[in-house]
Amino acid sequence: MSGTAARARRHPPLSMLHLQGGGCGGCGLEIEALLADGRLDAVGLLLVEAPRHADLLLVSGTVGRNLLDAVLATWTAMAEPKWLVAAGACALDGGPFRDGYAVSGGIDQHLPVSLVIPGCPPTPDAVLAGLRLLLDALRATPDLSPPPPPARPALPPAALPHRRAGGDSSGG
Amino acid sequence: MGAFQLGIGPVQALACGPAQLRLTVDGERIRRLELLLGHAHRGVVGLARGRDPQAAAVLVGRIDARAAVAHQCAFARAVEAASALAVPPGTEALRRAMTELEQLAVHLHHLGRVSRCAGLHGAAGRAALLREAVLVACAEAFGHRLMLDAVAPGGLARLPDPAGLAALPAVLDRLRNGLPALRRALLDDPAAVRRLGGGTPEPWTRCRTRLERIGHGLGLARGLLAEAGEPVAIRPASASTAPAKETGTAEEIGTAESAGGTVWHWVRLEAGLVAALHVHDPVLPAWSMLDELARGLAVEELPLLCASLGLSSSGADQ
Repeated sequence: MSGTAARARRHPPLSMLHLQGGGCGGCGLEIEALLADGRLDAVGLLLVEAPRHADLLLVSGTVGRNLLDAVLATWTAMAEPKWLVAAGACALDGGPFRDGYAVSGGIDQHLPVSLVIPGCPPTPDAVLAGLRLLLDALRATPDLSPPPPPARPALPPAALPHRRAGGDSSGG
Repeated sequence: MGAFQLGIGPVQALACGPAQLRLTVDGERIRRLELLLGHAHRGVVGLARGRDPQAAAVLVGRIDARAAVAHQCAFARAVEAASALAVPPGTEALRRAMTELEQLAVHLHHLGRVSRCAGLHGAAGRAALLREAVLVACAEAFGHRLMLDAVAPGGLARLPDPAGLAALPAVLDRLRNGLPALRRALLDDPAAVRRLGGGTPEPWTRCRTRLERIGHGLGLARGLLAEAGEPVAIRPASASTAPAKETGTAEEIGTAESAGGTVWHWVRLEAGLVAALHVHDPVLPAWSMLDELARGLAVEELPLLCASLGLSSSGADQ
């Protein structure tokens, strides 16, 4: 904790845009909880509203067919270097809605994902742990230019393991 | 001078989830607000059709995280009525207590968001702390912070933790003790009154209503938890027998309370499976009020109004 805080002081804060897709909005609630208690600031992340100001794109919720164009436009509008974080089961693969006619799969089918934070929804602690992992990796490289290879870290499990509520009856 | 049009969303639209708005502005005043929803549509009803009610319960809980227990309960009650499943009174009391706990957390969430929009960071911090206390207690008692996958037709999806249940009244006490300071910071502080009641009185009066509901909900939750008694009386859904009307067709309605109003589900069961479903989420009528309430406001006052209305596209789009 103190190590990350010290590093956060040495480095300029990175800016992050939170793109909330469909889904139940639970991931959004948990990410907002981090905003409310100031822990996002403490690790050196600044929440912004314009894609052009953002280094990180945090996607939560389902990316439906209705929303895909807007998500791609947001990603295109972001300046290089840029990284994408997928938080929660819906962003990962559509989650419980992945078999729905309106859902166009996980965000990784459309854009390069640098970090996946599993959970339905991930707890605020899990979101923070994931973001810290990415920030530490970015800060370990002296010039933030090369985008890191897609990382799928083993994070502490969320309060409840994600139940596959899709068409297969095997997981429920 | 003619009016200008301003597009907002669907990304980052007022932190209500994806939604698209077109404002017609005269100077800085909103003259008209047009709304395009549907970006959060997942096809919940389409996915639920043909499923076993127990599997569909996982899905309906995820219609909106701000009314997760309400949707689970409304759906479970509809299925129980249609299939003549009896729920023990203690379990029913516990489910109602869970909807009250959810409402407490959601009201606190909306109060926190309104405070942040209005720059009242002290009040926002207080609301966030109290909300977190509720969520942590819910995670301990029911296995999930937002109580997803907690309710199932026939009772509960799993047995609650006895120690977690026993700790809930202490959390209600903590809320009761913390409420006066939050009330003062939002309703009595002159700066708060000015910021919340500046453009339209709506945010301030809604904060007052939410605070009143929290006070009321604390008492209800306490009574229902006492009524629920020992968790041994709760029958987990896995133990529930096959519905009595399994071979036939039945239609029923179930209702439950959420922070935004009453959620209701109409369900039609055929041969024990969900054949049709209609979901009413009270956030949809709240969206339809937005145009009326936004007229005459300055554009920068719109996020505060949206936060105070507790809008979300999840429940509206499904």
